[in-house]
Amino acid sequence: MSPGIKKYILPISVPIWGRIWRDYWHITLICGGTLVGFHWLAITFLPKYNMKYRLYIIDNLPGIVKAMIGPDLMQMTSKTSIAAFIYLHPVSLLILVAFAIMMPSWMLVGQIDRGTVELLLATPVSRKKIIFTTFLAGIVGGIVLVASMLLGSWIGIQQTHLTEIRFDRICVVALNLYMLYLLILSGSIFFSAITSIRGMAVGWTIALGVIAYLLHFLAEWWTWVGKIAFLGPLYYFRPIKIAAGNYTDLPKDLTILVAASAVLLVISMIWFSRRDIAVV
Amino acid sequence: MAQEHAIEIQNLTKYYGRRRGIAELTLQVPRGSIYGFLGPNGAGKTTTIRLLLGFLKPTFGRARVMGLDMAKHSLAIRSRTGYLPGEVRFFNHLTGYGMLSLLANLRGTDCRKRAEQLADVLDLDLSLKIRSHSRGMRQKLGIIQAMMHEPDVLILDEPTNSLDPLVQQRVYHLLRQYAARGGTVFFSSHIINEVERICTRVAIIRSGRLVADDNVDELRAKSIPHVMLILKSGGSLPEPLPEGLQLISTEGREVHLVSSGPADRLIDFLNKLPIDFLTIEAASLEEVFMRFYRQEKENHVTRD
Repeated sequence: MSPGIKKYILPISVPIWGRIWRDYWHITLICGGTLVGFHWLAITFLPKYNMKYRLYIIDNLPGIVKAMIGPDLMQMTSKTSIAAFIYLHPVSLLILVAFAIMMPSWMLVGQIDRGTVELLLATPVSRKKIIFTTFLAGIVGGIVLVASMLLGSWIGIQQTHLTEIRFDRICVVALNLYMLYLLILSGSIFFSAITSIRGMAVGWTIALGVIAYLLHFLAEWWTWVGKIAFLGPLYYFRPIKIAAGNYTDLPKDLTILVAASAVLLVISMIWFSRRDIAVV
Repeated sequence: MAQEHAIEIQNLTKYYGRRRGIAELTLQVPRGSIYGFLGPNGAGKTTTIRLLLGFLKPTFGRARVMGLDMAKHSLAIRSRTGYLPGEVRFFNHLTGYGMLSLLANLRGTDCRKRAEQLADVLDLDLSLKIRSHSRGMRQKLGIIQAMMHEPDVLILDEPTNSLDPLVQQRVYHLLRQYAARGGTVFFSSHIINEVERICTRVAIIRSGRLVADDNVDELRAKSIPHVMLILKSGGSLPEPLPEGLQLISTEGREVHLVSSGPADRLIDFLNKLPIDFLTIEAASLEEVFMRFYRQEKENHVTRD
């Protein structure tokens, strides 16, 4: 295939892809390494965890703490579910969310902010391609990070010989987390596509993340919030239920997360292609 | 069939909300010309360029570059144009080579050789990190990236910003060579002298509206000549002055006049005067520009 034809057919821009990874490989490696270490370490603590005191400890937690941890707390009945809970831990979530927000905002709105977008847009690369390339880089970055978590869990399980931990279920939890990551990534791309200041794009994505978390958290307190909890993305991330092995809504949850991120991605592409881009 | 005009703009209008960027701009840039696009800061020059390259979407109106419609063929237009932004910004952690090869890859062309030639002419070391570049060096790099792929049309926004006079001359030389090979330069600037020096045709834009579009020589010819004369002792100007002549100042025997009437009327008038010394100067483009600027300002005041 001639380079001229390739340029128009390929859905991604190879030079932009290369640029992203040259600038982000070390961050991805550091985040991945941290996640391997954290999940490894977390699993190594599991043998010390006395299951018989679990209910006692959880029951005596303040209500607000229980609500903050999530609605499935009482189903943490096995070491598998505790291992799955590590995927809900703020360290795991923060690293994943930070990557999902920072990378697209750097690539899209960050270029408007820094003024480098003018040279980029003066070349024959379509804006849709720029968005899609960014999204694809985010997909790969997410795979690396989630795989790092799984690797950490696996090493931990091998080291502690905790054969009762169902690694297959942990993999499903990781898949669920990855779909949630895709939605956050698409959200970040969306805000990066519609704003002109990086801080604003990051701020909006974080604000929406906080609202989603509050929705999830308040659903435990107020019945009427519980009725609309399905509007928040965390409603579709149920690691403890998955680990318990009795969760039947998983395919629906995964479909909703993927569909929502696809819709956001399409809107971002259309919006970014049609908007004015002016460097001040 | 070869297009007569490299750029054709028709009724191009851009509003930013309620604020007007440009209004009903219509102009044609002949192929192979160096076309000056002159106007004070905020006149709408950059908006016009950004519309041409598809960075901004027009409120209405249309434009064609090399016969290609701006709205439908933005990618094809960009592959045939080179662009230097008014304030060029790069990835600072890259070297000059790194930045140029990224842009060349995005264009799908190998233009290393031409980039090196241009760097030689402009005396720029491409192996240095852009972070360590001065403003002038960045501007040189900007010019190289705009020209390295031998585009059909060059769109330059204030290209000689931050360049020393010697490098400015080299840039003018490069642009003249480029135009001589058939390339078209759309040269946006607020520096009248450089437009006068290198452009064959010039459009003047003010408050988003086109106020003049002509050959540089014709534009100058349309302007009002300056007359400076020193009267003989005891001589004086008749009153009133003939129509088309306007007294600017008198200082002793030295008189400054401007003439907007026919040349023979001026000659008749001067013939009748006792004159020791006389100069008649054609107005510079700057004066032409200032005249259009004043007229537009007066129109604004009248409208208000």
